[in-house]
Amino acid sequence: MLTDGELRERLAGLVAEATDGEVEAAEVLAGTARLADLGVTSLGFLRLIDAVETEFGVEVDPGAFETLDDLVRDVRAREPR
Amino acid sequence: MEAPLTWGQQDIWRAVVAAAPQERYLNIARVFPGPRRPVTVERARRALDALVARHESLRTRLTGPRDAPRQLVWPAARPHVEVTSEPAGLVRDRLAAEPFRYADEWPLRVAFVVDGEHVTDVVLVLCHLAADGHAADLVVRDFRLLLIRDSLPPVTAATPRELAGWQRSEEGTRVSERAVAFWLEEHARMDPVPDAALVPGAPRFLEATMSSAALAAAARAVAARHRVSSSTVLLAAAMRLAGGLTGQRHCGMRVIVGNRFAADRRDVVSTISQEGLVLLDLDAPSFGDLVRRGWSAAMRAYRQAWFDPYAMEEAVSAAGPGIRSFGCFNDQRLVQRDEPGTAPPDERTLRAAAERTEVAWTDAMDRNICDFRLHLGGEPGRMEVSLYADTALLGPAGIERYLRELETLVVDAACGEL
Repeated sequence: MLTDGELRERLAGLVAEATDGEVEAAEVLAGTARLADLGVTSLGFLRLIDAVETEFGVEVDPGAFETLDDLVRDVRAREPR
Repeated sequence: MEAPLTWGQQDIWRAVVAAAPQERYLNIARVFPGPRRPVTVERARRALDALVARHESLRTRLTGPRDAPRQLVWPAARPHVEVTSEPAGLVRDRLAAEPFRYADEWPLRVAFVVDGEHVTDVVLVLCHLAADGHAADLVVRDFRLLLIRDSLPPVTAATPRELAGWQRSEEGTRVSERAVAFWLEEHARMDPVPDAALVPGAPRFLEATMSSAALAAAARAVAARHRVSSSTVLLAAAMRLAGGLTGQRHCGMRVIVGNRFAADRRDVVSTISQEGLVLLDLDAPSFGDLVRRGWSAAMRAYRQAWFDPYAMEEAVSAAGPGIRSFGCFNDQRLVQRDEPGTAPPDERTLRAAAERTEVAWTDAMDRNICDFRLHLGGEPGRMEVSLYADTALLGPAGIERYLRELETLVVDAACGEL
């Protein structure tokens, strides 16, 4: 299982992929800004959720997270123990 | 090779049957300039051959009975090609003016606009069974590249035949059933839509188009304020006004969803867009609240827009008297990402721009699958909103009023009045 730090980095990488690099992983990791404020669009959110669900096998509620840390918490809470 | 239709194709086929023989509005047209280093017609024909060889959907016709057609993929195809020196826009309109003959015509019509030997513009008209808006853009991208290169990397995205196969698999059925269950839950929360009460005109369906720079600027300003897309702002406004027409507090509107956010569907050349269902409680403290609510509702809706349309129709038609979604919202703007803001426009500029807004009558039809349909198009600085409505539901004056009120609502919101 990934550590919290590794999970955070991986998810930031998925944000970058979901936005075709318009939002960089480093920006996402740097602070606590809302993803929408960093420039993640609706399409970016949908791609991100699809990628997270595919990679981690968990369901993600689009309304459940605004920041990277919210997403880390959400994925952690839904991971099979 | 024969295969069943995909869900997306079935959806289009239902629309074709409902509007025939006036379904030309479903055709998708694109015009693009020839390469900077000029190419001959012969070179362009070779590029077209390679394009058609590359994408199965461009070599597909329908076969079988009208109430249950199947797709028939051919090993090769020679679509209609014109070589002309007419203006490209004129050629586009002419090629798009007739519906396709689904069983005995290839699903694309092409014109090479020439100046002497060389191709200055390429006109493409696609049958909606072969492509949705995004797929049409992928076809254009490939066509442009093939005009300057001899080959492209192989296609890795699924073909329509493969999609149809997956959709009939256990997993595909499960995905569809989940979407149907979501739609039924949303229907259970809807208030009834009253029956259409007006005496319909002839032709029965009318389309008006509003061209507005004010709406484009105002929607962008409200979107930036609430960190959502301008599309969400316009959807919330459209639904609030729809609720005004129907008297509903809990109103459902269908939205056209591209369905390309899943990595394996991103580059599919076929029609995979389908309808999603957005349900909104319109009783919100402010328009801003409604917009934020609209964002969450739209995000949920986008994820449940991949389903068997016949199963969906059967399920929701049993939802109860008057319990149905009202209208369809289709944002077809090419620029889906709002340009990051220059300074938001001031109130005087917005109001002055609204003075220059125009509304024109742009289409009329006797039959259609949908009784209320909004299309968003135009350029980034000037939005075109078309409303197509059943005159039994909304008369000509009502259609124009709806469009004007949509602009006023969003402009007022941008000016901080709501």
